[in-house]
Amino acid sequence: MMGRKAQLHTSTDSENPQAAVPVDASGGAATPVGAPGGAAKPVDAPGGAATPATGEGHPAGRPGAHLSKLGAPSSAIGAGRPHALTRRKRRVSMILAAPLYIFTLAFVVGPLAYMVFLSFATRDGQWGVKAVLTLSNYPKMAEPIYVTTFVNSLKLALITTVFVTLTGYPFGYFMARLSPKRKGIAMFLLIIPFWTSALMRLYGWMIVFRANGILDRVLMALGIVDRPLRLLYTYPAVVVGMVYALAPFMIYAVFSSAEKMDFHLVEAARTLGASAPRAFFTITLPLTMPGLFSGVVLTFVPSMGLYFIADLLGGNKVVLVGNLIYEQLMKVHDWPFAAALSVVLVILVSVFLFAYRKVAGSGELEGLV
Amino acid sequence: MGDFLLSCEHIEKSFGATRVLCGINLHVRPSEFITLLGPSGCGKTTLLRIIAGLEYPDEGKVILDGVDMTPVPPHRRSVGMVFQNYALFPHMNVEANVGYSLRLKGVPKAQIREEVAKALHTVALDGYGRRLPSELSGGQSQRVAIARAIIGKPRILLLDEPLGALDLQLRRQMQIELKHLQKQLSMTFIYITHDQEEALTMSDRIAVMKDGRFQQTGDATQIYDAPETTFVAQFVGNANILRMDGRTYAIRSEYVRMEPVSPDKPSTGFAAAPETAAPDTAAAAQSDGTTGAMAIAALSGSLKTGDSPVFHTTGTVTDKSFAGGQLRINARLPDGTMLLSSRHGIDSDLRAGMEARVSWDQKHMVEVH
Repeated sequence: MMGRKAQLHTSTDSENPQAAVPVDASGGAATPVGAPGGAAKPVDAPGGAATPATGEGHPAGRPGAHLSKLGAPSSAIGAGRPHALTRRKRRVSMILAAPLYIFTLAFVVGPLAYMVFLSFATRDGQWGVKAVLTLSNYPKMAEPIYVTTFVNSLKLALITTVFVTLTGYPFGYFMARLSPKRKGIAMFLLIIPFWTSALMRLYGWMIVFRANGILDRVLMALGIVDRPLRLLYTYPAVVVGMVYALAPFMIYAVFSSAEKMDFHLVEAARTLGASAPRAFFTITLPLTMPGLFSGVVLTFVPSMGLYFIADLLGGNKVVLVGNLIYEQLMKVHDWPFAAALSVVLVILVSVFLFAYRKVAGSGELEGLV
Repeated sequence: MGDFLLSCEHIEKSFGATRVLCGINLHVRPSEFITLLGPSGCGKTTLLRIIAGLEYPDEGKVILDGVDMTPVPPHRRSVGMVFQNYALFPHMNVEANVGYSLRLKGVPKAQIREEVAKALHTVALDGYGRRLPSELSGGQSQRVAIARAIIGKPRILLLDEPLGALDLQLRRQMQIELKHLQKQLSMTFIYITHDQEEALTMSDRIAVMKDGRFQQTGDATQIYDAPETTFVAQFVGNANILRMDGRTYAIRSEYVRMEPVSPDKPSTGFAAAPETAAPDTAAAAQSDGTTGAMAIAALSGSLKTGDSPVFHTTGTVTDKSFAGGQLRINARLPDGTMLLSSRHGIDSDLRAGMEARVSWDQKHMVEVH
């Protein structure tokens, strides 16, 4: 009888690999399922390591003995075979995690490495690249025109980030304080623009900004200005376009942070003598910092490379690193130089992020960086 | 009105279509421990928030120390508050939490440190200053919240179910400590709870609330022994409600005697009631057809000793249980009224389904409305 039971479990076990699908990657915490005589002596987390000795050391009849002591077949699944189970769990968890690694390797590490390699290669003819290593792509960037482009890009990214913060933070914060129903509506309204291509929306802005466009007409009709502002192809138009494109990210980041905050904390601060602004700066702001931080990163990083906004709304007056790279790649066909520019851009952004992280002090990034 | 530290005059508050507070009048004397007792949703928290200034009344006035505080924001009220979920600032350690209100006032650092140490000593948390709120147990968090609220010496301390999240044992201990603290500081406490035992243990005065109104205000003895309404009798005294002769009476379960009906043994009742006359010698049964109330079998009294008359009837035992060291027997009277009898000590012969002789003294009946 006992032997049959053990047999039964063994076979169930091997026929039923799903039972071994791990819940956690370490495999340790999940061991109790397969712990031998788990009831007799509870095995906790390190059980994975402790149990094999029991399992291997005993002859085939032994699991039955465990069973007889237990008398509860259900708790004896795979008794005496935890080692194999644990190993299998680990293997399965590695297999399950594999796509992530493969994806990262193929689409992040690979291209990045290729880009770095390209930046040291030599240009060959119209399109091609020669595998002749050179450092000459980098010194080229010291030319004033390129330096200016980098400086302009940084400046625009910073301006954009400041405006996105000033508009997105209050938006996200107050959105988090809405009733659940209104929160849903606000979220929906925020998502709607994403159903249209970003390019389409930019054309919309062009219609608004162009000379005698919607904005000019409204402002003139209201008597605020007496002649067209002709905002299209100006720096302010680019800033507006950038803020428009990136504000949702800030809003989401701040929203998720503010939603987690217990508003009783602000009330507690108020009863302790803090005016509303004091309570904001001592309680709300520090507690929503992770969201604000993520928002800044989500704004600053893309704004260094969003070349098409500057292109469409700034004409050829506003040239950014993104535009430069695009031109080198698509028009000049100097791939190595484009790659070198990209490498420098990546380094620049990384340095900024690192410095910002130092200054902001908070290590929390809501799952970023 | 000079006697009162705080007066709430005819406070009205509605949320949407729901009327939460209906003309509340509350007068609190200096150094008084007053409890607002009521089931959840009775408006007690809203009243507290109005006193704190976190909510504004639709109508009525909050007068503190003779000054109309109704339009004054919370930070200028000198009203401290302890929140149910403690509301400790998670980004500050215990010392910073407790010293928060002093920092806002610009008190010198050395003095803050001193005061914080004193406040922590008051709540028996010496040496906990460096801990973060996340490293504290529920009881410790509660003490920190109290220390933080009392350090600024508010005129009134509001406590919103401060012990609600603690386990029973800790709760009992904290009840005593809180009461002690209140005496020691001779600070005015307005305490909210839905636990009648807690209210009876701690309060100088209790205001029982239901549906946005005060049902009864008085000290523990008044509330417990002389309930004015059915609700107070049931909620505070857990009393039986009887309708007799067109009137409603409350009688607490410990005053109700139940014993097996046995023809050969004249009943004396397990509380050794001074019952002398036989049921049939009693005056006409207090039958009352008009209100559908039951007919209590008989009224008898011992005239010679001047003892209270005794009522008896019979009922069917529906269930018997032990709860909190008490034997509790429920019986259904002929008219369907359920009556609960409770007493400490030995078991009774009564079993579910048995006929029981039910009796009580008239003196323990309290007329309510």
